[in-house]
Amino acid sequence: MMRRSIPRRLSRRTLLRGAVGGVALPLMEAMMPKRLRAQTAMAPKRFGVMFSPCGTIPESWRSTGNNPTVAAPTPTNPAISTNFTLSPVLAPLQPYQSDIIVLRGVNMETTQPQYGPVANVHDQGMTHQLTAIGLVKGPAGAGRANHFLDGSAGGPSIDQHLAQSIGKTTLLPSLQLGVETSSTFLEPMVTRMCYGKVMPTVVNGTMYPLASVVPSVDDPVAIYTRLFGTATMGTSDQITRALMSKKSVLDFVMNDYTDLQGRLGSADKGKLDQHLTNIRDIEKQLSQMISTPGGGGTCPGRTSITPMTPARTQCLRDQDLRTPAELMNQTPNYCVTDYTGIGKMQLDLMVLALTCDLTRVATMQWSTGESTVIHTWLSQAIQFMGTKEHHMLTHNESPAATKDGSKVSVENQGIIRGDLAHIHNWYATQFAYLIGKLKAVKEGDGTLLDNTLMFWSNELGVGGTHEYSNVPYVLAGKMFTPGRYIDFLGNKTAALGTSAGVVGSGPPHNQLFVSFLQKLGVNETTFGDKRFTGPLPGL
Amino acid sequence: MKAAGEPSRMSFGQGTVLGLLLAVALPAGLSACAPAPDGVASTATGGVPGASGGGTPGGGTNGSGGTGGANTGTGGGASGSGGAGSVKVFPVGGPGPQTVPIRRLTISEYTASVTDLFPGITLPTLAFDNSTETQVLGYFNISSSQNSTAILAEQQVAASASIAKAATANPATLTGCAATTTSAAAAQLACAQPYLYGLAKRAYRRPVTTAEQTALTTLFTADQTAVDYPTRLSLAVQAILLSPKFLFRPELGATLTAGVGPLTPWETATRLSYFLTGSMPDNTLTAAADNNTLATPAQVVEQTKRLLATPRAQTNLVNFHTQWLGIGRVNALSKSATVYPSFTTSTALYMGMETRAFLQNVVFNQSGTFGDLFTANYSFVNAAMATFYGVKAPATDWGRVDLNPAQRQGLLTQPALLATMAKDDNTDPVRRGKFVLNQILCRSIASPSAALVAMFPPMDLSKTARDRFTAHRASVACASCHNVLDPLGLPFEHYDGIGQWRDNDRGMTLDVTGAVDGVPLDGIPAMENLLASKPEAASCYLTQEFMFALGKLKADVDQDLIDFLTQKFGRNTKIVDSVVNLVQSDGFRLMRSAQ
Repeated sequence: MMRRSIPRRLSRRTLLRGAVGGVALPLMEAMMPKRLRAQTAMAPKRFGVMFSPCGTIPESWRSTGNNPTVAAPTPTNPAISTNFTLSPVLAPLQPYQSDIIVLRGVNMETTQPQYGPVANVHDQGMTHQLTAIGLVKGPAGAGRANHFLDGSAGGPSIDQHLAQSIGKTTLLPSLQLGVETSSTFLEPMVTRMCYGKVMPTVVNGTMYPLASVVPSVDDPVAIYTRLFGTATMGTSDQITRALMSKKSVLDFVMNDYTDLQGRLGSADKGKLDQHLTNIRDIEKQLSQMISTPGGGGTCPGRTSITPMTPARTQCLRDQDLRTPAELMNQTPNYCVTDYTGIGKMQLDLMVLALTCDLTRVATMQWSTGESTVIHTWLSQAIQFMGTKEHHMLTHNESPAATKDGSKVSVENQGIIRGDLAHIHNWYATQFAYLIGKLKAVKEGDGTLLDNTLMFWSNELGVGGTHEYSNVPYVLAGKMFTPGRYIDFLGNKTAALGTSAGVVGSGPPHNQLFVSFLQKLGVNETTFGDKRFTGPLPGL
Repeated sequence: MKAAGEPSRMSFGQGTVLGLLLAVALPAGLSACAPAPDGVASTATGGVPGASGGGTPGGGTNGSGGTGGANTGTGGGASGSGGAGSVKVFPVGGPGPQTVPIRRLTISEYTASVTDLFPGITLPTLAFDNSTETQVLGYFNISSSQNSTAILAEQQVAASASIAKAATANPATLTGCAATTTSAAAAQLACAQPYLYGLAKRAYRRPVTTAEQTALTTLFTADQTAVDYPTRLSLAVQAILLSPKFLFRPELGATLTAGVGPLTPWETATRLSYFLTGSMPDNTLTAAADNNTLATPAQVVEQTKRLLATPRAQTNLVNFHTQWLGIGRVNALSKSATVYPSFTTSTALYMGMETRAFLQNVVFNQSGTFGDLFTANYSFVNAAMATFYGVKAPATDWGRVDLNPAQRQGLLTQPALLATMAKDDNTDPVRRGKFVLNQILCRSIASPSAALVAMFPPMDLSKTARDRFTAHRASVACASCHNVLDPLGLPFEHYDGIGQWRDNDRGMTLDVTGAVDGVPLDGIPAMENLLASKPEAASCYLTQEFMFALGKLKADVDQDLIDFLTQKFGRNTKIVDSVVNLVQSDGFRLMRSAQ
């Protein structure tokens, strides 16, 4: 389909012109000279993340390795199986079993107190999951349930760090997609996973080394506009017209900034300058899109997606348990009405952006830590008759889960674990969809998937106990030898709903990220907290 | 139109404190907790209040009961005011103006302003990302926190485009002028020009220059053969909404002498309007600016009194108080279902509504004095909150009920506040004490260092909070802070983690004695009686009002204005009069250029 939509073979000149303009162009097959088509090494390397929240159910997640290299693995010597049976949660990945690596027993070691302050477990999970470094408490301190009200991560996330190298030549260094990440009842640190550079903030003489937030964008129209400058559909003339109209508005506005700055004092001038710089960046990208075809109107497949701004419905905490009168009186939040549909659209846009080489780093954040999403669309409806919010379910899953756990009968705990397994199975289906899309795009002699390292991440290992051990990681793509099950825990087992791993002794996810860096051409031996070194054994 | 991100914007509220909680680097094991009577004067770049104790081993000795001098200091140590016995003399209009930095419209101000710009038109939902707005000391509008990010710029572009598109869907309706897509270009221009000039005047909140009119016309007429009328109109409208002249509030002044002088009438109207109503000037206020009838204090007061009677201003000033109190997120509070089974999301919601109703009524409908904030022994409840208090429900929701004066009095016993300043399964005397210290007295105290936290002995949760903290204070390092915090926090122990009255703690007798600056008290009503008459609390309240009004943190140079206003303010002053006193002062009406 992708190939059919290419209008004509693009000339090499097109490619060169793009390169001179500083914009890397899609290395689509049609653009490649025959000699190069065979050399898939020419294709750029991409990195992607898909995040789903609230850990997993270990006994339903655990796959079985049938030919392990060692019987009793250790944190430095995992049991690796090339023949393995996927678990019920991961079953949707079966068609792509030879394209993935399943990791069992990797921990987020940096969440331990010796590596940084201890915040609410979901603050911790979200800020550590891609940064692998201790978080930072902000000036306002802690609020509800020890959430750090204005804290941040202590360093950049792996995607942003990679964007500094592999994202330098593309239109966008990176792209952050989301579904239900911004409109939320939750504290900021629970809602964010991507972080940029540390921007030291001084308040009342104290310096807070807070990493800047790189928020995910929940609106496909906004994503589409980032990629193509305008969400206008139509002929290439119409699109160019829309881009030029937008540019004329920005030019007008930039003049106004200059006009105003001329009359202000230096401090105010500096403040306006910050804003002007950001407006100018948008204008620059527009100019590139207007003058270079690759960045704008002619990305094949561009017209295959008509982005839609998500419809939102009033929603409330525990909405399934409230009376209509109670609901009427609440100050509502606005939740995405079509979580699955918007999610699919965002995944499609992610693949499109990677296909056209508009970016080489993309993240997809379904929800937040402490997710309040109610999964009403599963093939088997949630059976538990109490609160159905994802995170609230995890709290009721096991006797060990929380101090509230005793309220839920053992029978109900089993029901909830079943419900949660279905939820995680649904996210596995989404990851499978993403793999399928990447695999369907031909690139050189291979596929886009071959040149992509796609990482399925989570902010917790076990939902019920909110543990940071044994995080359910899955990788896809060919950069690491796929079709393997890498198990650091072996026969270690634990009570229902708890983790067999123990934070403090497992392989740290810092090592996983060092492996990513080295595989993507960044020659570094640490990532995040420098006390952890080297790549992940066995990967 | 609703801002989809609305609830999440109250993210940073609770626990945000004036002077902030300093993670001061200290010699290992020492705390930073000498009480800091001048804490209020610190700024974002200023000194480190409270840090002085850090270099003094055994800071606990000067930490007992407050060295500020009970009831004498007004917290203005930095500017030399407030010394016992000295009363500053000011000119009639108060001290001269200080620099006020340029402010960007907050998300809430932006939403209100575009709604005002396009009356009668249904605008699209705006979804600004909550990372684009930072709350400082509880407030959303503090200029120094208004940084620009790429995503903010992107969202401003997107919002302006979608609003402009919705507004121009029917050009004839919008402009009140008959030209349509098929009209001649000249007819379209004849309709568009006056509309755009008028819109720009309202959006920029001042008359538009000829050059600005020309730029708008140029944008509107560009490509007029290829681009249709509604689109061109929409682009011009978008340009106005994206202009820094709309998004920011520049103040250039009229005729400045040595950098000091009056604001232009439109700038005065704008300052007044965003402070009082959270939006742009209404027609009457704009007309007053146009007619140059905002030049004298009396004229400003006249407009202020008019606006204070409007629901919009009253809502906005209630917002000021909820930001000050840090209870904006009370809706999202959750509590342990085991410890507090009666607490549901509805309870949290009703608590927030109760405090808003309390503030609205106390400030605007009852006698409305500063003292009332602390001494009113009534509240405004619905049936659920009546049950919470164990009183008979009022005839209509949010009606007034009198509460047991031994248990309930003023803001500090409002459940929304008590539940916010608590743990999810327990009370939190430290947080409550810190709240009084930071927000009511405008003093700061440092958070313990990580090294000190690591040394904390485990708490014996079977004991009362008082017994726990008595043991805690046995450590000199801990005592230096807790000698300050505990006398303010432990008197709250009759109110459990959801703000419910309890006679005892699991059968153990409660001792709720404490002290404010060494003056002993027994229970929160007694504390509030002290606070209501305490000059430092009055001065602190005016400091909060000042920061909300001008969108800047209070700097040392601003202390004179606070002192001037404090001279006219106390237990029996009406809150609305404090607003009137502020807006007619030279510090509010005049400007100092930032050069």
